[in-house]
Amino acid sequence: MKTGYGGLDFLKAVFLNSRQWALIKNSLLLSSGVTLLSLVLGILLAVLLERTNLFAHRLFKLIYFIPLLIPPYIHAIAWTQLLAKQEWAGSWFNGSWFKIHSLQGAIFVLTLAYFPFITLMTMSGLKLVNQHLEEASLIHHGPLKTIKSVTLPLVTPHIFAGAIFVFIFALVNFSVPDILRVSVYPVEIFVQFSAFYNERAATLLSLPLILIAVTLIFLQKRHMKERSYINLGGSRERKHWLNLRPMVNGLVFLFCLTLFTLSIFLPVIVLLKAAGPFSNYVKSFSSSKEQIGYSILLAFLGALGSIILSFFIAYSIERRSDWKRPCMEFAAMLPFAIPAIVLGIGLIKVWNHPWTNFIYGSSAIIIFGYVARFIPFGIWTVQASLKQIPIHLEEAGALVTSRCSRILKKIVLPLCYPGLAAGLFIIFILSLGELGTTLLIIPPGQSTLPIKIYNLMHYGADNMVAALSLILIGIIIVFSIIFLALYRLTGQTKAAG
Amino acid sequence: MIKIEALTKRYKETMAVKGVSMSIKTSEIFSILGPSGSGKTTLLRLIAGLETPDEGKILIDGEEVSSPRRVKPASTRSLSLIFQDLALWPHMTVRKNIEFVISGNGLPKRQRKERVDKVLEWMHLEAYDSRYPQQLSGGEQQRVAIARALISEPRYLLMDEPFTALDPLLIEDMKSIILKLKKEFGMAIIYITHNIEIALALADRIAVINKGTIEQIETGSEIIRKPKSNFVQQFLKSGMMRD
Repeated sequence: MKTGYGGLDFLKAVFLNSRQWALIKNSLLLSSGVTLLSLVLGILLAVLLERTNLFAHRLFKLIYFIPLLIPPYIHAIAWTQLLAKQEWAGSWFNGSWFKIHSLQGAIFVLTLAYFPFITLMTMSGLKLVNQHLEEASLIHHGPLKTIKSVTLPLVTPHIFAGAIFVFIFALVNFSVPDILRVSVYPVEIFVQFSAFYNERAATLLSLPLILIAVTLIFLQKRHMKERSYINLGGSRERKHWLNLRPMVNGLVFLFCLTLFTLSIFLPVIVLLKAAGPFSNYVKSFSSSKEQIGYSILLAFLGALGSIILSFFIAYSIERRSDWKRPCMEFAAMLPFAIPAIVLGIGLIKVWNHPWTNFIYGSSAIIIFGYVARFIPFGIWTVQASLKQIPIHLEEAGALVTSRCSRILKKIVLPLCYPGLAAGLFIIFILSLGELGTTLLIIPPGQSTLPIKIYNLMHYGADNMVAALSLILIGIIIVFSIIFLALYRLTGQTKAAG
Repeated sequence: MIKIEALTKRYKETMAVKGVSMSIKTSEIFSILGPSGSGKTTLLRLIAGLETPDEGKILIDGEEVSSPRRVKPASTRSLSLIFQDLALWPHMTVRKNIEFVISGNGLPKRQRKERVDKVLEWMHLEAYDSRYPQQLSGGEQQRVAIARALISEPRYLLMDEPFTALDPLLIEDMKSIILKLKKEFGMAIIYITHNIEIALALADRIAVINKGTIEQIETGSEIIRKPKSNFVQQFLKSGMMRD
């Protein structure tokens, strides 16, 4: 049987060896472990924040998604610093039952990075639950039975979608297993491509991953149907009907605080300690100014390109009701199924020709990479906004003008503002921290901040790695604050107008 | 008996219910009548235990169940509430919607099934028990909501605008169901409406509410004969409360 890649013998050599089974086992164990733990933590946190009188729940609602803003490899760097390099922590932890450089370590780190995604999706679903459905149960049963039998079943589609995506994110993640020395498919693909220059093997190895991820996306799309993944509407302040007794409230508060300490505060504190004196930050910043500026510029251009495309794609999907709609929705999610490394290989294959070198050899290819990787987020957020715009608003516009572009510009775009703004922000943040694809396609002589951090890690420059990681987190937080401030300001201006 | 004493409820700057005092006897049909935004639904939710009063108290059968300091859970009040949108659980079949109300209260499975069968028969829903709410018509959904409210054998049945969005035939159907409920089960039925004709046709007594305050509580004929305020007089003249 000829496959175009060297025949059956080659396929056998790639797939039918004991290493393959180890890769499959590790990859599936990693994704399953992360998903299960994230589900437990994420759903619990969502219910606590949305339905109970938890102490400081308003504050927790503001910070719960911060781990998502921090690139997963930064989490891995911090935990490696703490558990592998700090003697006091390492001996206290007693590495015999838990090593950070292990599959368990990777599950631990990725769970802390991804559980807020489940919380986000579950909270979106909880906001949409008709309050009367829960109250109809509270008339006859207590709060716990109501949550178990009414609330959670009603948000199952959102939870399921969140679980599928976390599974896929963990399955295709390269940076964390690479740092924690866990053999999984994305790492193996990178090794085959970068170390052995075996493009064929790298491509073939990506097939099981892509197949699993595509199947899962298909399943969750069927389950989710036409529901929106996220809720951008300003939903009415809901009564928290699950009243926790003070002692229980206190314990639960401590649990949440511990969770946020592990996922936000402790990694930052560890990095602060590892970075050393302030002069290290100055030195790191001065030597990385170019990379920092380059990263911000590329992230912005990538986000801008993504959101423009996302708008047109989301609009085309949302305004049709024929058989093409589910196909387009499915296709829009497919970039999630492609590991970052494989996307990088694909971009190289497409653009590495003499007649396209003006793209391949320039920063444009990185922007293309960001667009390809993160456009589904833009489509999600814009679709969520479009679902809230009744079609008859456009129909009313059509009575006034026959120009579609005018209707889009004057009616649809302004009303889509929350989705566009949210999408732009999310894609910008994700692009800023992107590593897997950029590693392969970065033009010679250039470097982004994540790549610099990654390279320095392998040289053992812990101080600088920690300092630059904190600078990256700082940039993300500064831009988050700027975005929120601008969003509120423009929202108020629109309201006042 | 439900006794309400000087009940007040605020939502931020708005006084939804202001100093309401009244009593509702067992086995009476009691209507709360008022325009949209007058506080009817808030009052019903306070009685059900879904809201906490800011002042005043509610007693059910002599026991204090609601006060600013403490609200006994809704599930301990021996009442049922039918919401305006019915609130049928979309992920449960008709049978499951009804059975869920009495699940986990110690009844053996066989007895639960018998009770559910009885209620389904009473509401003529036997043929629909394995369907989901979204597969039923509006009138059928209404009957499921009533069946679900009855299964727990409540002493008090609260209904939020049960006649809104019903066509004339269904309105007559609903009226006869309410009368049948009173006759066969002897429960007190408290329903909210903005339709004076329906209030007059069914209720033993009517409480007219306006801007959170009770204007008058009397039998229908007394209200017509001796309206106690301008508001009540105007509303009688208009014949029906506007939405």
